[in-house]
Amino acid sequence: MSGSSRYSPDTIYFAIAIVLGITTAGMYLLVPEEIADYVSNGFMLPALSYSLLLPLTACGFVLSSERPVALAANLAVLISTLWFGFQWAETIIFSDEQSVLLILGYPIVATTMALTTGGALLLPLSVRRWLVPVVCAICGLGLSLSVVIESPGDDYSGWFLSAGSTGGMAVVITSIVLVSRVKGIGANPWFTIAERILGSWLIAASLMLVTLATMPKRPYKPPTAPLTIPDGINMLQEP
Amino acid sequence: MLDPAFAHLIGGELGGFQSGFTHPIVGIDHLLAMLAVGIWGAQMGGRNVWTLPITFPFIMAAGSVLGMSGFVLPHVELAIALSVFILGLAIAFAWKAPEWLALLLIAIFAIFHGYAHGAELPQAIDPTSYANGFVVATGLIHIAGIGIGFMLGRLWKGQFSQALGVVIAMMGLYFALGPFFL
Repeated sequence: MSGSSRYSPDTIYFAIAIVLGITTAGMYLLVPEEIADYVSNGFMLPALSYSLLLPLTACGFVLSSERPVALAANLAVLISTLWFGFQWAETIIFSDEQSVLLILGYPIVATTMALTTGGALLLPLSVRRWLVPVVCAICGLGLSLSVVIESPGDDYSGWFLSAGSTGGMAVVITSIVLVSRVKGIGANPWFTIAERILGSWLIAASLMLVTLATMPKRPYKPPTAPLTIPDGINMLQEP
Repeated sequence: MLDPAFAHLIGGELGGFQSGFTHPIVGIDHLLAMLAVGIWGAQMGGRNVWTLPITFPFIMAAGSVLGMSGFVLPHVELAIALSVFILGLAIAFAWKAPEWLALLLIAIFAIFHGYAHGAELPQAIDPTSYANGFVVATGLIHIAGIGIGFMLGRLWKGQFSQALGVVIAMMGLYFALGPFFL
């Protein structure tokens, strides 16, 4: 027997996910202090922005229904659109048409990603398989647009690289871990339930945000009664 | 004096994800109702394990749209308290409701829970993160409820689950009647 048979493909995929996770964290720790402002903030954007992280994780769930070759091909779609999106958005943001990008806005982009990934998770597997490349393309484009819209306005290369890689890793690591440990959708009914619940969260949050974005603004009315929390602390006490 | 809808009174930090996430957890009436949805689904078994927790956030989103639009929904606190009471009773009696009826009940309750959240959403500093936070917290409470329902369902032929249902129903009654008597 050859030595390679000691490890199953699933174990190797799982090991790859662990290595990618550690590498991403290690890159963050090894960033030199002089460029830490842009690069470290870029790392933090997808990791701490839950409106981005949730759709990207859901994209990982969607990808986990694919076989390894199709999974790799769809990841290539995601990375290509991510790269294309950076080039496109960077061109626009330095042109007279930058208002188009700014009008699109980060919440609209994130909401589109959430609607797409959430909807895909609720679809039957037979239909979903046809839409996986579309979901990946929208997530790649959405991530790049979000990163450009939120950019600090300087040192784009470091910011793009760190934010894009962290966002991409969220998709890659989720999909590889699910494929190797859960064996993807269909093999485990509990996984199907988890997928549907995650899909319903994303759709519900998106519906609320679409409404919020389209409804006319109401003037803010300050509360008339003192606001308290259950332990009785008055939140609006006079100093 | 007891004020039943604790979750509506967190006015200090209408910020981002964390504020939205803690909103349903800190309000014990919301927490018990959402936990009860999961427990009841697990108790009924079959498709109900996932149809109930999926329906709730969808209809909750519709309720939050009502809240955001400024529509005045009467007796929201009382309806939320009654949702805790009725879901507690359903668990206590191990009621195997027809799927359509269970979903209808859940949908009616979810409208009021969503309204309470939605009314505050436009005032959040970061509505996107706030909405994500409270939807995720709601889903996680449902999942916790499903887990509790399955674990307790195995103890003493499900009687432990039913006992928990009695406790939830009593809490619901307390939330509903407390303001009138305390």
